[in-house]
Amino acid sequence: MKDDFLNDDWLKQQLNEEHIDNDDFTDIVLSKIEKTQHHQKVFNYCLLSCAFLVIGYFLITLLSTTNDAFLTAISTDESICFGATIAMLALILSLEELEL
Amino acid sequence: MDSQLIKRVQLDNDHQAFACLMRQYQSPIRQFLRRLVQQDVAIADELAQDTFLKAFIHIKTYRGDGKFISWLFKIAYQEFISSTRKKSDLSNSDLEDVTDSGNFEREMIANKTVKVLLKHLKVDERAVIILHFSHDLSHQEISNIMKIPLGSVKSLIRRSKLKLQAIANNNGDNHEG
Repeated sequence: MKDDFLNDDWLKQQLNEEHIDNDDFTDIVLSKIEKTQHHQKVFNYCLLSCAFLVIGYFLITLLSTTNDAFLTAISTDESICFGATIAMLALILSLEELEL
Repeated sequence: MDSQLIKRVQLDNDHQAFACLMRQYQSPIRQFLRRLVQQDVAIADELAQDTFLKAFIHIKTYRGDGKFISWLFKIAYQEFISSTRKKSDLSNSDLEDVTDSGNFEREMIANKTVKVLLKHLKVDERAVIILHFSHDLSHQEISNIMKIPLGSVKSLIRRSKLKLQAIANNNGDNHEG
């Protein structure tokens, strides 16, 4: 054994491994993948909803300050309703996509 | 066959195709990690699961310019290194002088195998020996997996073999004496 360590073929033979295979492992990894994807979807749709809200808010503010006709046509309450509608729409789309 | 499965995962996030790839490649990855973590099967399998999870998430970055198994080994090795860094136990046992181990001689008498001797090597030495002799990877592939120069791989393999031989010889002399 003393000089065998410099013999590559002998080392390969010694380090030969038994095959490991079970479906449990595959199932566990697949469930981890599904969990990760679900969390990623939730995060993405939360981000999307926030983006809708912020864009909606700035759009209404911009139109209110630059367009007198829009200012007279839409009140503060109506703009809140408008924002809430967009947020609800984003939320419904998110829930449908997430199958919650 | 493999390339078709990989394409299906890359294009459609196909879980069944990935399951086929996992069944095919889980054995070498799990064996490699078991050797690296020194036979702690539960930790090794957890690292193997994380390896395949990362492989699935980043599979679009695999461009087919090397073997798929080499790409998996690379992820597995990085997972192992980051886990040891997290636990900050970049092992005292890996760094200690192997001949100082108290029950070493008894262990050798009980089980004179190369696999047992591997645990007395440092992590990088152990990794090159396993990848080269157990999984038959080339020096270039090991260089890519471990992110070290080609020359370093060759010298690391040579050094590790000499170290294994020195351990065995030292033990043999002690045992005879």
